[in-house]
Amino acid sequence: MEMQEVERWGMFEIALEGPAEGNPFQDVELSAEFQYRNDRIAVDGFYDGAGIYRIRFMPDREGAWRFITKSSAKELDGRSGDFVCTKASFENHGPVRVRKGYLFEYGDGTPFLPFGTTCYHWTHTGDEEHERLTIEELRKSPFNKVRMCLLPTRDMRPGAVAYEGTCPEDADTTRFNPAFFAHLEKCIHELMQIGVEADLILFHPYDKQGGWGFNGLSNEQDFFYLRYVIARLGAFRNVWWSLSNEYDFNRMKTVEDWDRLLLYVQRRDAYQHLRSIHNGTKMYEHATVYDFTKSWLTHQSIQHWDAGATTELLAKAHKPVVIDEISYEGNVAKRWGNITGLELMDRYWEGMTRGGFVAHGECFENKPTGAWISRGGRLYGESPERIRFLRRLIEEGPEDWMGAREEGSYALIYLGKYRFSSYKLSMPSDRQYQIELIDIWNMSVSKVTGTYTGQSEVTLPAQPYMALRLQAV
Amino acid sequence: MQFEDTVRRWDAFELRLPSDPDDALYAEAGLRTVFAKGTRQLYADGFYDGNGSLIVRFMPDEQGVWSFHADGPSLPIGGLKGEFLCLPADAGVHGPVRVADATHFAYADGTAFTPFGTELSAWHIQDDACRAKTIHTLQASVFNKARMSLMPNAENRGPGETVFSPFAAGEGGKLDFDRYNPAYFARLEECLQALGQHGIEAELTLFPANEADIQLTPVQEERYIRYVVSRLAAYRNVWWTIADLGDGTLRRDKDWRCGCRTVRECDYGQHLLTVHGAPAAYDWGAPWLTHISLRHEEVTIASTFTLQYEKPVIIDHCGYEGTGPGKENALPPEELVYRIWEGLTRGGYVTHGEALIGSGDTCWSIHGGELQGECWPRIDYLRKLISDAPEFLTYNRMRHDVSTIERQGDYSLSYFGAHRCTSRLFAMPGGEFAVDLIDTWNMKLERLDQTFQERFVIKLPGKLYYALRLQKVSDVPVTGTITEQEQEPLLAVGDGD
Repeated sequence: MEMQEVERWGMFEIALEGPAEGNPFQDVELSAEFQYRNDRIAVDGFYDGAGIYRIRFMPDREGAWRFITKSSAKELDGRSGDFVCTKASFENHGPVRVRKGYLFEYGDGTPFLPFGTTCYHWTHTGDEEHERLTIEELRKSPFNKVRMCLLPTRDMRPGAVAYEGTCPEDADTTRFNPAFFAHLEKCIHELMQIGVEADLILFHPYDKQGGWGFNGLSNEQDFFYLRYVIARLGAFRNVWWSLSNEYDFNRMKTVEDWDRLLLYVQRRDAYQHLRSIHNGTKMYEHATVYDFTKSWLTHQSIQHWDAGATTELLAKAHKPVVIDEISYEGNVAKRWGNITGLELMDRYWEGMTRGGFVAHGECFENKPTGAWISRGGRLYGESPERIRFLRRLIEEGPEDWMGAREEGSYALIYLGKYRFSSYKLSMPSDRQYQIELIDIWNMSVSKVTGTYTGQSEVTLPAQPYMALRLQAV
Repeated sequence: MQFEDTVRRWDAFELRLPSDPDDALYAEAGLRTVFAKGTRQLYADGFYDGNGSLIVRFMPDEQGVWSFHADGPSLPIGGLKGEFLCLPADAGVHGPVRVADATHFAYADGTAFTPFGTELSAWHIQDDACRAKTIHTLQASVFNKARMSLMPNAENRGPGETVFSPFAAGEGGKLDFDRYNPAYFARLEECLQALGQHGIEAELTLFPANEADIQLTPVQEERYIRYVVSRLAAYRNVWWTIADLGDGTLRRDKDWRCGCRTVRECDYGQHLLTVHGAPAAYDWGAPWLTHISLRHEEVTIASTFTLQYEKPVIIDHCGYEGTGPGKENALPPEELVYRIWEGLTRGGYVTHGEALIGSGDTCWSIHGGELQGECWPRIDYLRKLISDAPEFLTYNRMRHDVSTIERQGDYSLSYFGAHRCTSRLFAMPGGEFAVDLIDTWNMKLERLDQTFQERFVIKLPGKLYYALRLQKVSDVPVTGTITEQEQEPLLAVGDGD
C-alpha cells in the first residue's frame, strides 16, 4: 500500500466511525499523538456528526510521521497509522509567527507584513455569490489578513451558527453544528488559497441581552467551544486566534476570565498559532489596552485612533503592534466609521514608519453590497490603492526597516500633515545617501537631485502627506 | 558491531561500531538507529567518540525484547540489525523523572519526586579530588538535583584543568565549534553516573547565559544539540535546560522553539525540558516546555504560575547564600531557607545555591567541594518532613494568608514565614488531628499533647519562621455541629483574613 503523503504545513486528516447515540460532542473523548522521530505532539479529535469522528493534524517537518489515537470509545481507541510529510508546495510558507519581537515571518522564514482588513460576518450571509465576490475582491486587494467572527451578533439570524439550533430559543450550547463549521472551513481554505490569513475572532460582545447569549457562558462552556474550534481549525496554517473583539465591552467577563480563556487556547493549540485580544472602550483613553506583557499573548491587536501610540506600545511590551482598528474609511454616523481615505492613509504611514502595522476597514452606507467591515462584498473606498502603494514600498525596502533605520542604511520618514518647504536631515557622515520624495496620496516617487551626507537640508514642495526615503548608496 | 545482549530497564544500552578516524564525523556521524518493541518505535542518532569509534546509545523503558536497525552512510548497505533483552530495573531504580499530577514530578515508575536542587554549575571541570569531595558532600546532604552548565565558563575550571569545554581546541587553543572533545564528555558522563548512583538528577543547561566566547552558527547550534542529546539521553537522571536567559534582557529575540524541537526529536529518553529565565523572559505556556524554571527573587510567584500554566514551577535561582558580590550572591541563610519553605508551601520548588567563598577561593555553587553555609541542614530537615508526608500535596488557594500545602482532610503543612502569628483557627471536620509546631530555623518540632477536632484554635509562639503540621490520626464521626464549613473542610479562618 502506498504511504499517504501530506505536504509540510498541509492538513492530514483521519475519519473514524464511532458512537452516534447520546451527545457525542460531550460524551466521547478523542485525541491522537503524532510522532516525528522522538517528538510527540498531541491534538484533539472532534465529532463531525452522523457517527463520524475526525482528527486533523498539520505536520511541520518533512519525513515519516506516525500516530496513535486515544479515546473513551473503544472503536476509536488505539487506531494507528503513518504518513509521509513532503516539501511544502509553492506559495505555502507555513503558519505566521513573531520575529524579533516586532515583526512577523512565515514558518519557512519568509517575512510576513500584515496588511489586514476586517469583514466580521462575511461567512454568515448565507449568500454564496456574495462570498465569491468577497474572495475575488480580497484576491485583487492589497490585503493579506482578514479579521472575522465565528459567532453571530444579537440580531443576526443566519441559517446556521456554531452551535446546534437556528434561533436563540432553540440554540443548544452542548452541541455544535458540523455543517456550519464545514462551510467556515471552506471559507478559511479559500482565504488560504489566495494567501490571506484568517484572524478568527472567537468571542465578541455584540450578543447583548435578548440575543443568543453566547457571550455570557461559563468558563467551562467556553472551554468546550474553544476545544472544538481548535480541534477543527487548528490544522489550517493560515489561522490566527483573536480571543475577543472589544473584550472590555463584555460586562459578563473579567480580565481574569480572558486570561484563563487565552491560556486554555494556548494549552490546546499544538501549533501555537498567533494569539491576541482586541480592546474596545479604551480606544478613547490614551494607551490603556490589555496588558500585552502577559506571556500568552503573541502580539498586540490594538484599537486606537492614534498611530503615534505605536512607539509607546512597542516600548511597553516587546511584541509586534497591529492596530487592527484605527477608524474606518466610510460615512456612517459612528465615530469609528467615517474618516476619509486620506486620513486613513495618514494614520497608516504614521504607524508603519514607527514600526507598527495598521489595518484597513471600510463602511459606506447605501452601497449595493453593504458595509465591507460587516459582510465583505466590494470595496468602494480610496484607501486600498494607496495601501497597495505603501505595501509595495515597504516590500521593496529592507525586511527590518526599523532596524535598517537604526543601523543607518535606510530610512522611511513620514512628514505627516506638516507643510515643509525644506527639511533638515541628520545622516551618518561616512555614507552617501540618495533621497526620494514620496507623495503618499498621489502615489509618486521622485528622486531628489544629488546625494546627501551628514547634516543636510532638502528642499520640499510645502505640501502635506509627503514622505522621504533615504537609501545609502 | 559490539553490544551487550541484556540491559536493565532505564539503564544505558550501547552499540559500538568501528570506523576510520575522521573528525568530520563529529558533525554528522551518518548513523541512525530505530529501536522497536511492539508497535513502539524510538530513534537514536549515532555519535562519534573520536579515535575511530562510533556509538549509538539508547535507554529502554520497557522490559522484554527490543529490536534495532541501524542505518546510514557510515554503515554497509542495508545497515545492521540486532536484538537485546531488557531486564527488570535494579532495586532502587525508578526511571527518569516526569511531570505528574500537572504541577508535580514523579519518576517513570510513579514514585513521587520532590526536587531539592542545588546549583553546581562547573563542579565537573574541577580536579579529581574536588569532584570526589563534591560527591561525598552530596551523599551526606539532601540534594536530589544538581544544576550544571554544559558550556561552563572556562575561568571556573580547576587549576591546570585542560578538559573544560564540549568543543575541541583548534588552532591556537581557540575552540573549534565543528569538533567536540570526547574527553570532556567522558568526564561529564562519569559525573552523571556518580550523581545517578546517589539518586541525584542532573539538570544540564545547553546554552549558558554568558556566551561571549561562544558564537555558534545556527547549523553548529543544531549539531551541538543533536550530539549532546544523542549522547547523554541514555542517562536516566538527565534533565534538559535548553538555555539560561540570564536576567531576561539577553537573547530575548531568539526563538528557542527550534532548539527545543531538536532536543525532542533526538531525545529517545523523553527527559524533562525547559528554559531558564526571568518570569517575563519566555512564553512558559509553550507546549514544548515540560515545566517552568525561573530566575526570580519573589518565590510567592510559584502559586500564580502553577495556576496559570498548569505546569510544575521550579524557582531555580532566587539568590544564593553568601556575602556578595552582588545582591544575588548575598542572601543571609535565614532568607534563603525562608524562600525555600515559602516556595514549597506555595506549590512550587526552590533551588539552593551557595556563594560563600571557602578554601582555595572556591564556592559550592560553581566549583562544588564542601558546603560552608547554614542553609543546607535546614533543607535537610524540610526534606525529611516532606518525605514523611503524603505524596503530591496541593497548594490550598483558599488559605493564601498562610501558605499551605495539604492532602485535603488528612494532612496540611502551613508556613508562616515572616509573619509572627500568635494563633490560628482551624475547621477540620471528619477526624481527629495531631498538631505539630515546627520551628523551621532551629529545626525543632513540638507535638502538642492533645489532639484536635472540628473547630479549634492553635496557639503559636509569635516568632519568625514557624510552621504548623496537622495530621489526621483517626476518623471521628461528623457531629454535624459545624455545617457552615462542610463545603471547605480544610478552610482555616486566618488572623485578619
